[in-house]
Amino acid sequence: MQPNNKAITRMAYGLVTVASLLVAGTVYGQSDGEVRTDFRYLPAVKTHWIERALLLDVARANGRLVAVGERGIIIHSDDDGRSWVQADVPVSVTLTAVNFPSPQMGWAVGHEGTILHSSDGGTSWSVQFTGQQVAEQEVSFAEAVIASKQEAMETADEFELEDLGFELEEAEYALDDATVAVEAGGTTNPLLDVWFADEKSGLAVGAYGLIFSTDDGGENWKIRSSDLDNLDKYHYYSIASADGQTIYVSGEAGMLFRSDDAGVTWIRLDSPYEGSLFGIVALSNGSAGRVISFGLRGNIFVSDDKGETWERRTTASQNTLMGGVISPGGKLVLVGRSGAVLSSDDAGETFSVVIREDRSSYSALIANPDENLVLVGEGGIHRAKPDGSAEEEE
Amino acid sequence: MKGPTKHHLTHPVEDVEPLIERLIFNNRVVLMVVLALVTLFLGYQASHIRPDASFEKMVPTSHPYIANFLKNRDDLASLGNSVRIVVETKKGDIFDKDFQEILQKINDEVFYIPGVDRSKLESLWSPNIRWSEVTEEGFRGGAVIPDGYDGSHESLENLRENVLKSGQIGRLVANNFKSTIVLAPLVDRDAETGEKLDYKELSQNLETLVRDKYGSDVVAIHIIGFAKIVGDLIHGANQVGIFFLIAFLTTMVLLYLYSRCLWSTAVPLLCSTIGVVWQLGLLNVLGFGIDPYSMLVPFLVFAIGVSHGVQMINSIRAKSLFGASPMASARLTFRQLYIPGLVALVSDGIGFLTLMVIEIPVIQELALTASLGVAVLILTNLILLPVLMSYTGVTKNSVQHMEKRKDNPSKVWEWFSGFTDMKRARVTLGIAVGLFVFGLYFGQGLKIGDLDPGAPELRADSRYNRDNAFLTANYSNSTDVFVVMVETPAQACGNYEAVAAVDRFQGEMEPVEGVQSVVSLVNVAKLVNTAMNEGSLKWAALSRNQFVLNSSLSRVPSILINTDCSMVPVLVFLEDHKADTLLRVVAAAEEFAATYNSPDATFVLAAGNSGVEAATNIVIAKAQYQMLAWVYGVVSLLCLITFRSLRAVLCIILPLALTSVLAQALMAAMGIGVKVATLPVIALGVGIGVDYGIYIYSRMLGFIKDGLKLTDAYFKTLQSTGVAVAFTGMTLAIGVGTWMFSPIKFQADMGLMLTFMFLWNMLGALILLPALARVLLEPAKIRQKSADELEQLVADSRK
Repeated sequence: MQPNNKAITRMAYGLVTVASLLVAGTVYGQSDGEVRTDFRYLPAVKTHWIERALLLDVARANGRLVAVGERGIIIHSDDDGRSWVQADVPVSVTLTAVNFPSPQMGWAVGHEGTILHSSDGGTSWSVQFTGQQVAEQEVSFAEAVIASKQEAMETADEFELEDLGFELEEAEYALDDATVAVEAGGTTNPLLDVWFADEKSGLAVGAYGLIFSTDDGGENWKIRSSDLDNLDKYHYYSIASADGQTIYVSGEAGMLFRSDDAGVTWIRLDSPYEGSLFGIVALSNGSAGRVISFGLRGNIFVSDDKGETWERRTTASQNTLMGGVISPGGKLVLVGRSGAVLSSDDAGETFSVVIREDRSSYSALIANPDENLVLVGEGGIHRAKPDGSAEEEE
Repeated sequence: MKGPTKHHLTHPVEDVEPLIERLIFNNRVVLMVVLALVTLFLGYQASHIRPDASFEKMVPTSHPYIANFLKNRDDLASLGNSVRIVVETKKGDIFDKDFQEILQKINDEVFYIPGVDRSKLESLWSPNIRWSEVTEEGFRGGAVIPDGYDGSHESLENLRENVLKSGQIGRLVANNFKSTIVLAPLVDRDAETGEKLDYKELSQNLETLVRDKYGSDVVAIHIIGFAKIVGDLIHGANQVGIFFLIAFLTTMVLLYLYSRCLWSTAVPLLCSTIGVVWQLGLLNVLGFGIDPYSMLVPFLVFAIGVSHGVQMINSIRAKSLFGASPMASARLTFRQLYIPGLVALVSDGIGFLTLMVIEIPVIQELALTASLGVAVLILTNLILLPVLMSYTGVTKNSVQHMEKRKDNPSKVWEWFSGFTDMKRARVTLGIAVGLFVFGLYFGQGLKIGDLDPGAPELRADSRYNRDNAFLTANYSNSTDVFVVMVETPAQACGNYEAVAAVDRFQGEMEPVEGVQSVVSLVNVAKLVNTAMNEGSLKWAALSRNQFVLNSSLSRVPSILINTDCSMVPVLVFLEDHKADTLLRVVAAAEEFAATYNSPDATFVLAAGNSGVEAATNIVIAKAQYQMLAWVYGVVSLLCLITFRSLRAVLCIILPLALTSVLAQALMAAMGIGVKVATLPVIALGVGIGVDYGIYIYSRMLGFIKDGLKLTDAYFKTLQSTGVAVAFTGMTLAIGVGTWMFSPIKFQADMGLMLTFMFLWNMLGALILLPALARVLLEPAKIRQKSADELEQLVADSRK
């Protein structure tokens, strides 16, 4: 799909979204006395079949591993992924990402604009931010944009006026969308990644340009849409930072962003690629650390100048890559669809490819202190040797 | 009962001779001609009987689950009826030139087999199996067999890539890449001819055109599917004819060894066979067919016929021993036995009829046909048999044989008569109580339903079940499917509220122990949503945005959504179909339905083979004790009416109860569950077992009334009726025992259970009954009462 076409399609989506949500809104507003179960906010189903659930991300909270996935599942392991315990989670929406900046404090994000928080190392979770709040902030944001555009139009010349007119129209559409979403129980869009520099400052990104930040441990999340150059509202997929100061965000249609001031201001980087970049990893050797971004159909790009220029790296695999990690020993490991595990001992110059026999698709991974890997994705937890190959039966 | 024997002989026969006896024996020729004509007619009918194994008959159609299933049956049709042909390579993997060549041939062969829905045939070589992937430009895809496939290494590698991208691993391609499936959905009726699918022919075609033709030392063929089970059942059922022949011949030999008389052998066999012919003929006249369950009935009818025949023969011989003419022997025998015979047969029949309380048509039909068969025996074996014997008599040889036996009574009978000794009676009863407790204790392990994996109709080691085990081991979806139907308003099955409920349902069902996987339109919606977002797993969720949801539902295959979008099935694949597994699944699903059912989405149980089985189990579990209560109630009542004594009822019923309890323990020990096939067996066992008791008790009572002490009365009973009982117990056991060799598992189970029950009932009647009689009966009182009655009778007849 060409970006242009995509923009048009999006507009169409937007229109119909408005229409369908209006319908949905009236349904919710019906006065037939029927109380409908909101399946989003039922507590997650407890399952002992962790190995079968779809898991989407895994993080380390000191000695503990915490993984999140479909239907509100959060599980944790204190023995490097051998055995897992399911946490109590108050929601059933699919959770897409998890991050622990300290052993106790952690955040998980997911569909329906949901942000969960744990202050006990992942044992218990509470709702910190909802799709309803996302939609409300989107309304105020759109209103602010409309106000500023209208103000600008008063003093604009003819040439500027045309552009502002378009922008105003866009903002009005966005306001309509957000207003309907508020009435219909919140945004329907997912958050797709979360990252915290410390127990206070964090960032959550998601679909259709969702981006929120906090500097008080998530008590207040603020919409940041205006700070990133993403007028087309593409999806943000991944956040990476080696030092908490320089932060990278990758996304749909090859989008790449960098902040040099811990997320206050953002620069859109020139992209080497027009496909989605599902993951980004920052190596921690100094301020000029290497950045690796990867995504659709096995595309890998590396940059040694903080994302200003990128070089393509090719491997034997064309499987879409979705998650990556740097092991304690410095090995770079990427995982993706259809059993693909790519590992590199030279920081992404060359990769050795392992296609695992189960051919599952993996979304993320983490490396244990002994360099062995824990992969998550379809079929839940998969333990693997450092190169991704299957562990021998114990 | 009316007092028989001696007393009557002192009076003119006509005085006390029942009208019916005169009617029969004064019109012997007319009777025989009429019966012969009826036999000819029914024999013709019997030869036209059709096999009949319709699905509806085997399920409890009145159970709400089944009603729900039948209501949605048309929408669910495409779910079930297909045949899976697994083609396995024994060297390397399926990406091999020779293997693919064979696979292609099999694909083409199956395509042309009548009954296969050609447009829906799926295999690596069918054009509808495609791969797809997401690229920067959008979706890309094609048939899995690459364009210009030539079997070269390169094109095989291409094929491998395509298969990986096709999403068919675990479904059409084994998880280990060593086998692949040709999936042939079947049509119910031929589109052109309108004829119903012929399972037998289809099954044979699959054997000859696929398995025999392409199976070799490098390629193995496994065939799985409901159609194949039915085919194998029909094939197996054909062997039943051989079992009948074996049972017939063994009975013949035993009869001869017992009677040493050609007539005494031929006449009971003839009469019993006529009974079977009538029974089968009547089935056809009444519009019934014969199914794998009711196939048991001819065996029962034959065996019961022989059993009564032997009683008759035995009595006739005894009369001949005293020098009575064939005619007199036959008449006296008839007079003496027609009441106990009638009572016994009527209790059999009514015992069988109690099976009607189980609301499963196949069992109700079995009840009806068995009762019919027993009713027929009243004519053929209680009437025709003595009439025939009144012509033939018994041979001298036979009488001599009996005389020898009489002069030299077997030590065995003396020993058996010892059970009327008070001391031994008490010990016996003590042991019986012990066995009762033992049976009750071990009977607790009795399970409802089918316990073995695979198709429960067939033996665990049958080819079909080995094929099935191969499929289960190498592919992701089992063959035990429990289907929950989610009903929504029309055109609303894709609404977020409905789909979200289905998603939650799946989430709650997946952790249930015994559930392998759960599939519905939700899986497809999530898959499509993922694909729409370039394959990112993070999008594997339902969107509450109805427009997005609709587009992700647009690719849902027709089997997962009905035509007017008012019902979506949720397929719960199970690891097995054990009763406990089914109970857990049912409980979880019912609980969900009770909590979350709404106008948007109503969860309704249950379809799929496991849903049907769950309903059947529920019905059977409920009917089990109900049926026992009925059968015992009815049989007890009949005994009470006949003997007008509660003690008599206890003497006859308690041994049967012990057998029933032990039979349940045996079932638990053998891993045989209570199911459609084995539930009737308990009623049949009681129904037939009661015969022994009635014959022995009535005979013994007669001797007591004649003034004999209990021990002597029983000893004399043993010599006459007892021999016959022992003999019939054995004959019956052999008759149904042959079933143990049936390739059809439930027939073998029925055979085993019936054999056990017949033998135990026999022992119970011979051992427990006299012991109970010793403890419960008061011979002196009986004699007094009998004498009073007789006086009254004589006074009446003198008037």
